Amino acid sequence: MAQSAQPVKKRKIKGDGAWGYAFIAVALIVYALFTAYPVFSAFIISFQEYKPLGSTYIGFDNYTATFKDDLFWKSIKNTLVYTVLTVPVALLLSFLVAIMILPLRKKLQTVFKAVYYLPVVASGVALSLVWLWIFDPMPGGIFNQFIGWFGAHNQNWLGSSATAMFSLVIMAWLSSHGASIIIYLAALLGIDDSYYEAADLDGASFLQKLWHIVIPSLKPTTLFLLVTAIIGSFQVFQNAYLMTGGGPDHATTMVGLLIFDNAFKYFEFGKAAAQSLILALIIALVSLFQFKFLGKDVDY
Amino acid sequence: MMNKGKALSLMLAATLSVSALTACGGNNNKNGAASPAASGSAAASGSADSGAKDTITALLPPVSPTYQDNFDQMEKDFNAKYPNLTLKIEPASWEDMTQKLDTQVNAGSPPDIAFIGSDGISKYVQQGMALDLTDVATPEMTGDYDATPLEYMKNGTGLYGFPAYMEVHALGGNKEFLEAAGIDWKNVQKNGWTYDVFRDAIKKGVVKNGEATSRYGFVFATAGVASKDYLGIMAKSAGMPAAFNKDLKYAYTSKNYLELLTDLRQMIDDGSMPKELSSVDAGKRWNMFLTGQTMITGKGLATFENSAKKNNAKIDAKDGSAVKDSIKVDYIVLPVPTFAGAEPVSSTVVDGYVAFRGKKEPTAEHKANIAKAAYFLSSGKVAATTNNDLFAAHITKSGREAAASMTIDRNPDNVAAVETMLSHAAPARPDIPADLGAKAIKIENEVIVPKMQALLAGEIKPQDMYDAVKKAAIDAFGQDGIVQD
Amino acid sequence: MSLYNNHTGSRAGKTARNTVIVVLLLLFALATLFPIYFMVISSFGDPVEAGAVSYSIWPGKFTLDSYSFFFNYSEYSYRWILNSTIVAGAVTITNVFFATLAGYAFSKLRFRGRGVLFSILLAAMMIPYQVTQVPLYILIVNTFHIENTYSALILPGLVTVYNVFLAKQFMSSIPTEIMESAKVEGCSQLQIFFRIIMPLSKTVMAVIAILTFMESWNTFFWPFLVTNTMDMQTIQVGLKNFRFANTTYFSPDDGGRDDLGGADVHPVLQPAEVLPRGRHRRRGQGLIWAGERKGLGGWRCRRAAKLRTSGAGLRRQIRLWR
Repeated sequence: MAQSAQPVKKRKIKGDGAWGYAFIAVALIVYALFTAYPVFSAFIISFQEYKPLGSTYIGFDNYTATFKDDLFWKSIKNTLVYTVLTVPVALLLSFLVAIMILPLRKKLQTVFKAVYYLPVVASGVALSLVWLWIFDPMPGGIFNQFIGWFGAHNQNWLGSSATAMFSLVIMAWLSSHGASIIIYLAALLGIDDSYYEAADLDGASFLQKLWHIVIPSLKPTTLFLLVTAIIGSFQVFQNAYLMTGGGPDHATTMVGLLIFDNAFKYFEFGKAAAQSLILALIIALVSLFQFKFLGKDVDY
Repeated sequence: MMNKGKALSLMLAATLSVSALTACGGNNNKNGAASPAASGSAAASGSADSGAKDTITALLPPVSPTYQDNFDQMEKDFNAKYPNLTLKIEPASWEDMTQKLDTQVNAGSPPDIAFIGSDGISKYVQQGMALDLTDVATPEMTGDYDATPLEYMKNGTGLYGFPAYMEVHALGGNKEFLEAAGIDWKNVQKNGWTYDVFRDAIKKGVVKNGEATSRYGFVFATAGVASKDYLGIMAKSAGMPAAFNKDLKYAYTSKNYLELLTDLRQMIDDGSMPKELSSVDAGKRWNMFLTGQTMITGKGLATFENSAKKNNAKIDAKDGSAVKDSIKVDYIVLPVPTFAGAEPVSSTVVDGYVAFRGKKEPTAEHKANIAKAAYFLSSGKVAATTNNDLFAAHITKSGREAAASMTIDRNPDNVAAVETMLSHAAPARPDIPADLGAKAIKIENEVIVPKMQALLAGEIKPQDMYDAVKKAAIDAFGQDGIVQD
Repeated sequence: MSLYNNHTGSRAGKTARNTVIVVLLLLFALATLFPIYFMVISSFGDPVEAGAVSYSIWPGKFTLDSYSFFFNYSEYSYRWILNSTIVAGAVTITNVFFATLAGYAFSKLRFRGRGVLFSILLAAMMIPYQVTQVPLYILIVNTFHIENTYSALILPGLVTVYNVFLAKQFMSSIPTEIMESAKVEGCSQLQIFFRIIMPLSKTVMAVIAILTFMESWNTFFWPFLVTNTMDMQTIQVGLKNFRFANTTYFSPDDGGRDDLGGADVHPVLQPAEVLPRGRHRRRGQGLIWAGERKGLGGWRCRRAAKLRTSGAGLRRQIRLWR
């Protein structure tokens, strides 16, 4: 079979080119217009002191100012901590839930899928209000009541540096993982039964099947979820904005929030653009690392 | 299921429908798009009150409860008054309004008019996007307004819009609790109170239940959007009515500031204020007031009297719609105490209709029309209705006239108290240059508010915060740019 | 589904295991659903001021006022729903088709610059939206002059990199040999895609459809930014503008909090309830989907397609080269 495959492969490389471009054409055009162009503009703006009526070029000033800014590095650190604490747990939870939904009957699967997807639908602002109540620092707050049962003092969840970040992380853990669950479930259902049958013949246990079949098959999916989750987490800002405003004393200031403030509060758009590009660079490095680690596509 | 033919036809259908929808853009016509300078260039020649058709766009949030209901009526009335002019109102929500406006400003296509707080004006002036109405605002228009609010809409020598109302930021007290604690609130309303008197008064208002406090003397919202309020309002009555003194030196480095911080921290340490104060937000502080968990609440707007009345009615109706565990409350307007022996200065906020320009300079004609629209919205009947709904004082003669025929139901003591406070409102400071103002805003956001949160949470000392502010001020303004006493 | 042992153990054992699983799932679901529960419960209460929110588990008063309020409040209420449906629907269809196409190309076709192009695509996802918002707005308003139209709402979202990436990852699990042998049978690339790849990708297409539709339905800021008149707004924008009257007592200084008397929960939930059920049928089939293939094209290609994508054919192939 190997010999006969060779000439086929050669033909493949030649023929594919035009088709490849044709297939990605629409996606590429939309991307170029509505994504690449704004990013390119942002790149240009990062070298300017931006004013709508006429900007002036100031070279690398925005970048040097950002590198010297302590607050920027603090926010990077905060964002890193937040990402490391939330992303792996979120993925693990989604994976576990998907595994658990797997053996149930179709109808039950649908029910649970809908149930877990529901929170995605809720508006972030309304949700944050509920969470504010949950984290109410007074003894009447839900969380405080809960730990009160264990005899602990009531905490100023969002107001004290020690617990503010932790509260945001908990909020992320308990928020919706609906999309990841659905994606994982779809991938799980796509694993061909023949693998399991072969493994059963060899007498493999549940855990062995999990380790040798499921996890490798899910590598592309996991890579996807990991990369997109990290990209999203690095850019997070809504929760911090609504719940703590970045405080206390910048304990929960994320880079996204900083960029938002620079762009809209202080009207220093050039600075915001520079910060975004630095952030993008960091994300790109992290993603590159992930691709190297997980990226080798499991080709059949 | 999906074969080539089907797929192609689906794609075709999709493309066709998308392009069809592209063509139909809804009622809006290109004419009314958000570029101010586009229209209105028509009859540049000739007559002073030319009949050239023009459209003015306005971005307006729900200023008062019934405000957005009246949009259609407002547009009609304006068109009736100026038959050649059309007012196009874009509704927006409070939270997102600034972001939309800022995006549009940055893109160079803002609406002609937007309703924002006067403290935002310097930001737009600095970008060159705020429109100076001085040469198109007729004496008849400017004469209609009270002097103080009009000053707030100025920056440097320019007038950038018209004020809608001037609100006093004060405190709100529960009449029953105040009297039970032996506080002569009528006297306080007339003559104010110093910090020492205030401190004792709120101590008397505390009710303890063993170790736990069931009622605090004083609560002020400090979290979320309210984070700047506490310090901002108190500082005005601590001898620092603005971020810069008359000589344009940064004021928050004075020793008064340190004393203020110490006093604020002291109230929490006394037990009169909850130690979780840094997490109390606007909703929570009102909830605490209604459920009797605090005697005095801040900040208090005059309109809260109405909210309290409504809740009282719901309690009477016994239909379960009142706030859970709430009690009947008589809302009393109270002034902010004075600190460090300073004169009482009320924290007043002026919100109004600010004018903008786009990338292209608007024609003189269009500018005049914008002024007309802004004036229409902020005076006469529109202002009267809006301000009444807000329990805000009228600041135009025409507004007062129009309001004379409308009835409102307010506690006369409260009305008098608000008037008293308005009489020593913080003066407007159009002399503060935009770039100094911008630096002050940055310090406020990056140093003051975060450190304040930490101070309230008991994580740093007042001296630490004061030092941090001083350091940031020296970095921004230099040793000579700050107050040193 | 054979991950779990279906054949060993008793029926009771299987039921017991499933019950335990369901209980665990429910517990976790409770934690994530609690905020939603509270939102829904509040929507049955009186339209109240945000500051007067009752922090209680059960509403004091049951009323559908908030819902009727919503439908009566604005003459545009139905128009908003229509707009949202049009925009979300259009974006979903284009995404499902073009993202799958591009994902397949990036995954299976070999062409020059494939890796570089994909990395560039991915890189753009890493720039936060706050900064790209203004240039994009300039593009739409100043350059193209299409603000306040359906185009402005739909075009930027026609194909997203997220979906292309997702499709690419799913495609990687389709055995390449299928396409190679289909080629040998004389199928052209287009035929391969429509006859073989698309049927095999129903899963990922369904996932893309749901995620895209929901995201488009729920997105607030972009529609808010590019629409100027009420008749072009989408449901999320319309609802936020018309805050229930009482809450404005707390604005401007308090920033006007979102009203928890949120009938906005209800219309928003509807598509979530409808859509997943519609799609789940397909999702369960995974890769093995044998369907009818009619239509044009070479008979050899047709026959090959049927064979390649039927369960038995696939298994045969996998075994052959394992």
